[in-house]
Amino acid sequence: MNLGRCSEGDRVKVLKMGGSGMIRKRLMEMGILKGAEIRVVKYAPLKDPIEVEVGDSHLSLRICEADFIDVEKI
Amino acid sequence: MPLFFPSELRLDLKKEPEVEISGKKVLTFALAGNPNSGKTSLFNAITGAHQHVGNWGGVTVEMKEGSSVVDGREFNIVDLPGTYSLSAFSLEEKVARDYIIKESPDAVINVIDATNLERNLYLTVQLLEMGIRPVLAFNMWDEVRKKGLQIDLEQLSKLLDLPIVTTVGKSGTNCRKLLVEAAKMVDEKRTVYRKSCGDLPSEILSAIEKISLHKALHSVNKPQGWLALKLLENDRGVVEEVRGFDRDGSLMKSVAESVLRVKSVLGEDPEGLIAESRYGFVAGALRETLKKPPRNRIEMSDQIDRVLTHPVWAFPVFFFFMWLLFQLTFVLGDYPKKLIELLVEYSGHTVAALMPDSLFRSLIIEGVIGGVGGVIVFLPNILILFFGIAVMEDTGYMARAAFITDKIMHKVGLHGKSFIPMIMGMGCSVPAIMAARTLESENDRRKTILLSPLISCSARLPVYVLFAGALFPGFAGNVIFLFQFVFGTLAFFIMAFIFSKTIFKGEDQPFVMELPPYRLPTLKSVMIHMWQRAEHFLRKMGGVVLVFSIIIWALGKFPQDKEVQNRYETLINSVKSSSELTEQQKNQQVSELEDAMNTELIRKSYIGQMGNAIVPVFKPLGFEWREAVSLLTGFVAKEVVVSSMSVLYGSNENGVVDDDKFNSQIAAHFTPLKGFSFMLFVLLYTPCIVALITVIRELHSVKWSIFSVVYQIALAWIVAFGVYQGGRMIGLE
Repeated sequence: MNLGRCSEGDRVKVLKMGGSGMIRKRLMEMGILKGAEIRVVKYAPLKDPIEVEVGDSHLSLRICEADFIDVEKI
Repeated sequence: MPLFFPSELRLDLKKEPEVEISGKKVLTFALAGNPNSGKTSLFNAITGAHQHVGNWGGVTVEMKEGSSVVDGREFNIVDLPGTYSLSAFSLEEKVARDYIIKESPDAVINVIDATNLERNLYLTVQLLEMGIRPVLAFNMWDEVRKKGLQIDLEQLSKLLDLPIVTTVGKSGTNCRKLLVEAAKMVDEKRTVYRKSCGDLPSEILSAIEKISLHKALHSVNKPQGWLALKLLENDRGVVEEVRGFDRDGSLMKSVAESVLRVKSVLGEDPEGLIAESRYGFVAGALRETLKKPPRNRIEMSDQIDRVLTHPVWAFPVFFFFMWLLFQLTFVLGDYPKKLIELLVEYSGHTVAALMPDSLFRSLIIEGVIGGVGGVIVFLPNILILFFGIAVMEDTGYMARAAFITDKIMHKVGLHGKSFIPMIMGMGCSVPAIMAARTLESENDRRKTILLSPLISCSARLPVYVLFAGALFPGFAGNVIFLFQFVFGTLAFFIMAFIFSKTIFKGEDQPFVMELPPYRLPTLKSVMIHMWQRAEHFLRKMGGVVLVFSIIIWALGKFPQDKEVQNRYETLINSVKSSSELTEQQKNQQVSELEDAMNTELIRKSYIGQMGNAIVPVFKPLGFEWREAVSLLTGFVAKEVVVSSMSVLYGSNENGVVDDDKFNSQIAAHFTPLKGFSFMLFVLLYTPCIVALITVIRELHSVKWSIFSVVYQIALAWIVAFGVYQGGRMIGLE
């Protein structure tokens, strides 16, 4: 499942980081890497971007970026 | 089994500091840390008023420098840009990294949001990899207690082999202790980190070893082991730097082979594995030392976000804040502004009364007082606007504004963060252009810099006020609103769309943005924020506008045509000595003759000649020579358009504009259509000289700077032409 398809409130675990280049690097620097646990906090009022909680940080990602991240529900 | 980063490849990046006699030298400490870690407030607390914007050659990101004295020992503190990592992902990261490598500060103080250790320590690991042994400032310590986090500082300090000082930037707690600790570390010559900082898989370690021995790296003046690590990580900055030394391409080939091998053996690329090992190292250190309370309550920030990023309420609340910001800036700001105007006018009158009529008096009143007055009159607006923006930034709302608007901005190829320059642009294009620095990708930043000047800044307001007041008396407010908010923003979006479909076609840039917890800003930090920007405005604008208003004054006064003056003086004298006219008639005729003389003098001056020369270009837009001259002078600053025009229409006596007369002159010389076309041109053409200089500085490219000027003038001309000629065709004139 892609992170971009999750619903608000879902708790997920990262299986695989897709994508390449800067987006991937930045996501990993912010703590979104294999094995990380993520909570989908909410979608922006216009349904894009998405707010997620990783560790103690809240991050905002565009749906197209969240779609690079392969996750499973926990 | 933990595998250590090989110590012989460890980066002897930093030489041991050359402190001969301890305590004699002024030590330089660099503050590094994540955005939102309270780094700036800690910097402010340490340095107080003793700070200035540092000047490092070629560095475009502003870095502040300050000093502090503790126990008679002086310290020099450099506030590096806030970054999440040192991977040269953004300009800020590159600047921070280059500063640490090239300037070799005596010690690095790593400011850490102690409520978010996991992510903040990621940057620390990158410092350790560089061989830097920083002092950790565990900032926001008051919040750690409130959140119920338990951190075993002693154990963590031992595990990391780093000194830790707990601080509270807001109140300045432990600032002295932090400096003392850093100085102690320098005195003990313990600023080089020699221990392991990660459990890298053996495949990666052997790849690092192999690459670091490549001859191409020996020519680079940086530690080879670190370069090899960065190459495996595909670090753009290092790849670019090394490429020049890798003539036969064998190094990059070797890197590519290593990456492939790691991928085939471990099933993942080194980039991901290295990031994982950094987080692994941090997690390992925190496992025993950090205890979080169970999450049983919804945090305050989540509560606030329930409203501020609510599916329905987010936008009304956002627009309310924007409206409030505007009202405060321009309605409240109008009172002090009026006062300053009065003072400027009063000074003009005082000088006029004290000095005999001469060329010098005219220079003082029209050139100097008019020039300086023209700048400081905007100070109240700018102070209030930047106060509001500082509050939005310090509370964390600015990030939410980008969060809720990103979808719209992304549609035209921009970033949610481009919204910040857009809002700032309504106050002044200069800080707006500078705010584009928050954008991480070069393309986004360039686009935003090119577009920001289209947003109508407050300096353009006087033009709209004048023309709307004179030509659209019944609904002047609406016309002003359209120009100040709607048209500029429309132009911004339309041009953004055109740019993203033409010259900026290509890959989208990442939008990974932190939504920091809401925090109550301190008055002190907001004031410092506000004052620094206002000061910047005064410093940059004051000088330039003063110089240019004197140049424009001179261009308007010279060459002095004695023949015209004598001719009019004879006429005026003959009116005065006439016995047939009443006193009232005499005065009226004298005043008319004086106006005619002034207009003719300006027409024959240098600036009048220049304006006349470019009239053919402006004819299709409906503009005559006076408009051409005013627009020329408008390159100085848009508000100068108004003052030039007041002189050209004979409504300016000794630097003081006669409003009623000026309005009637405008109404007599402009049709509403022509005025509309003129306002559009003023809105869209190149901003003032200060904004132009800022654009050139921030774009870092002659090609793009020229493009920025050309496209704006072309856009202004085309739009004004279209509206004027179109309006005429449908019979509006």
